[in-house]
Amino acid sequence: MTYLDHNATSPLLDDVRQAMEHWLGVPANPSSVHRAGQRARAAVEHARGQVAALLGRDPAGLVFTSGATEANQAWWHGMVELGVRRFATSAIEHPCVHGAAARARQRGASVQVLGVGGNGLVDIQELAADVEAVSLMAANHETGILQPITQLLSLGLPVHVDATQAVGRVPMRLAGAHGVAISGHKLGGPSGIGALSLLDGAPFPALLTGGTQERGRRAGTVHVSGAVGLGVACALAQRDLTARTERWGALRERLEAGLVALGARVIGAHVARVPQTTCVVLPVGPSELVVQALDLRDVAVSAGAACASGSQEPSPVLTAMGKLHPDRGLRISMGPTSTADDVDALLAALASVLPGLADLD
Amino acid sequence: MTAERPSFRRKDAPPARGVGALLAALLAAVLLAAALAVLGPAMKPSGTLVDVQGDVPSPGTYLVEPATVGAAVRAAGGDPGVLTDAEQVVPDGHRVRVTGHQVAILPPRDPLLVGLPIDLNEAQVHQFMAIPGLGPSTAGAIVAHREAHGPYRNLDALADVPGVGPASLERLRPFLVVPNARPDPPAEPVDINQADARLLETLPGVGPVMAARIVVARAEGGPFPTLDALERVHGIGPALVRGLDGLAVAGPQPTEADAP
Repeated sequence: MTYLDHNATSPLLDDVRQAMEHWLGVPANPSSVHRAGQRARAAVEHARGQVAALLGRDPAGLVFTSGATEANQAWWHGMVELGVRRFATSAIEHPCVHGAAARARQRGASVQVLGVGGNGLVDIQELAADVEAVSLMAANHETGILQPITQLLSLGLPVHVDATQAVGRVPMRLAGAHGVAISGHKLGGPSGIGALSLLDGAPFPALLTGGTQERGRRAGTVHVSGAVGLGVACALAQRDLTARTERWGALRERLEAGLVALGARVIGAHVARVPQTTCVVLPVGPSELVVQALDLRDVAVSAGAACASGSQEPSPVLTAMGKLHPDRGLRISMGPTSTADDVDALLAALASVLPGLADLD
Repeated sequence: MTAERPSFRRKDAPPARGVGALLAALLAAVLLAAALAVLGPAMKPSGTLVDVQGDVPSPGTYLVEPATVGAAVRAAGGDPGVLTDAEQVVPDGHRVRVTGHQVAILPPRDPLLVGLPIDLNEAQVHQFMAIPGLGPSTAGAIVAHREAHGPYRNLDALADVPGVGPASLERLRPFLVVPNARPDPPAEPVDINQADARLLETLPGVGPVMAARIVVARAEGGPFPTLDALERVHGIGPALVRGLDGLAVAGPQPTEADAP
């Protein structure tokens, strides 16, 4: 199978699997006093350092979560608890952030939703003067377009960065952000694990309460094998960042030239993007049908975010960007293991699929 | 509402913390290599992370102890013996840039690429990959040209790179920046025996400091018989001189009346 949907999930890397296997077969509650527990604790702390290293963040501020959804929601929850009443976020965030924003509103906070230009960049000039905290993604999940995080951080507000789709794909040091959320399974780690990186080890109002794990910032037994896997995935991403990004850069040229030749239009052709994500508007649609037809040819891509594409709705991101034919968006996302053969297989399959759809039009 | 701003504002955080955190984090990565699969107990490493750049065999980030310029340069495969100030202490996270025998300690850089523009004179090949339509081959040519000819004086200088035409230059322009960009040099080659510091500064790899040194060296040691003789100026090496080919000449020796 040709798998080019790594923004939905990326298969577990072999080194990650090997590192995790040991911890699947031993008693490993890091909160236990006995040596078995303490060995697990050491492994979790080691992993914490590995994850923090990739983000350029303080390991003491890193809280393991069940994924990026929980990490994003935990940050919003904590900020509401701390008394923040005026948030800002963007129209193109992952649905889990929009969910957190909706809950913040229910709890009495106001949330300014920043618009996005036709170029896919969130307009931070719109930011209202009284906003107290901002939550913005680093790279968009559908288009891969890198958002103006640097400029936002320079404003001096607490900024939460959903780095899920950027981490391990561009060089990144997020030392100044108030919060950073990542997910394990987008970078070759396991699903069911993610992290929220806060500035330091200070208390932060927890989303999950009733236990002192993670310095009281996230109750519940730490997912040891998951944390170990996420740590190794981050370490690999850091070690291989140069090689991966350069390879993606070369594959992207091949991919996008081929897609344009098939009549597709590349979204974000003139703005910075993570090199492994390409989103195009197809000459025919809807892309839902294209995705199904490609699947029959053993090629896996997506019609947008996996979480929205089951719903047959046109891409909310492309809609927000004001694109014509938001129902014709096709997202191709490469991973650490993607090859030129994958790209060629996709292009060949697409070339055989599109004419049939044009006939339906 | 401003008076009631919550106290977790970023500007209230101790400024040094970000750097310390970054280092602690990077450190964990350094220690990781040997322990990818076998996870040992968490370790408390010692040493200082220093980013060594410039004229050393293996530029990169190194864990050094003691945290001196000499130790950092040795870690990067260089010879600290030739340096003017090898005992100088490098603060946590700072960068060491070696130019010939000369060492500059630069503040930590936050290489946060989530947001542009990209520094044309600092970025490595992979850092250009966020730019659509720029593949590793063109990025490689950009970096190679910089290594062969010295830093780009401005964005227009990208046009000298093989494979970068006027159209691609315009496309790349919004993504890139040259801090302290300088204008193009005059069409005439610069005469290193006549030019003042301002004119010398237009040469690739020659900044204000180097230009001043050239003027001083000329005044103290007499005119330069050849372009290669520039190497007697502290901090100028063969690479820089090679980059001057066609742009500078060692003009006729000034007569005694011209000499300062």
